[in-house]
Amino acid sequence: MKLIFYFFISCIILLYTEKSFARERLVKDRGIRFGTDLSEFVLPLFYPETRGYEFLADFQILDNIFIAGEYGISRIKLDTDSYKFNYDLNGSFIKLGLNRNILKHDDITKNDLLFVGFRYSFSRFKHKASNINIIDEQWDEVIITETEEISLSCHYIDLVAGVKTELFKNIYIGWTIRGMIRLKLKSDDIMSPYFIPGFGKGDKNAAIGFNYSIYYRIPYKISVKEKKKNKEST
Amino acid sequence: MKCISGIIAILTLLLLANCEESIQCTEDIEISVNIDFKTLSSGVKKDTLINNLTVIAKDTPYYNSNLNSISLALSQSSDTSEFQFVVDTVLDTISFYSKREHFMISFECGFATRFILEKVISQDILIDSISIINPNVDRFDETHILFFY
Repeated sequence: MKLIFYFFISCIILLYTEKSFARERLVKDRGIRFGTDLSEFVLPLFYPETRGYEFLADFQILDNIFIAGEYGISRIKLDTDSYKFNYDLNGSFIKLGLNRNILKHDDITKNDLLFVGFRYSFSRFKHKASNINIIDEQWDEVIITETEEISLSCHYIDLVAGVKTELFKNIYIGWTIRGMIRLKLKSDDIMSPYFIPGFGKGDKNAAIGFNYSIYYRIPYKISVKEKKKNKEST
Repeated sequence: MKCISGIIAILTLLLLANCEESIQCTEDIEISVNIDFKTLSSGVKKDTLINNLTVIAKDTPYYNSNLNSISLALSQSSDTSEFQFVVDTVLDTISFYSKREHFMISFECGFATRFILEKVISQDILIDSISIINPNVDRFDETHILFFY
């Protein structure tokens, strides 16, 4: 009886030792990344009618899964030097979704990412045309008119792929290529929008976009269970 | 990875720089009210040809031909457009009353005017009766009015 008792006690001690070993935790480096799209500063050189800013952020929720968000503002200004009327568009967009890292690291301190993901995106904007010249040759008249300012909105989905690489400590640089599919546009019967903020040309149902962004990561440490490694070590 | 990232960014910007679109209008922006000439005999509508028809808008001859249909451009600045229809020496004045709306054709072509026809009145000298079959005068090529001659 005494022997059986010692056997059980020994088993419980052994199990407890195994459990406590499994609970050994490993410190991992994670962080929230904030960034801005550098391509928005370069695009006005090629398209002087456009102005925009975009801010990006991502936050790691699981080992290879990140919540990603983007917010941006856009302004378009066309004038009668190139077009037959003046046109103003102001708006903003917000995109929320997930990125999945598909790059495997042996070194857990490495934070470079090769990712794919998606966003659900919403854009709200206003547009207006002024100094519209309609030449009526038949009746020998010139009509000068303008439209009211109309509020529009658009829902669309982004499918994204890209890389983020650590240039210096906590400073990341990366690019993202995205295919966007328009879901719903609140349209204007008088005038279609020239541009949809965050999406692109207003007359297209699908678009391709590109970001070249710089990020700063605010790091923090978390401790996580690493059962596989512990078992290997036992 | 850093090197590849940089090269892709430069290539994309070069691609964007070469994608500039030309701003040229290639669309037809004429919007006209289309009229078919008919005769009505025993309740049956038949196409008819009007010989030596001259249509005058704002003292300027607009059409001068043998026609079984015409297209007229309404005034884009007034809700009323008047045309004189002259056959030989007989003159009839036709007045078109409509609502107007300026709308954009495209960013390249600019704006045009579409109309909703409310009524069309003649002096009943040349034209017996008028029937509006489609009041929306837009960019679509369809018949809007029948003139019974």
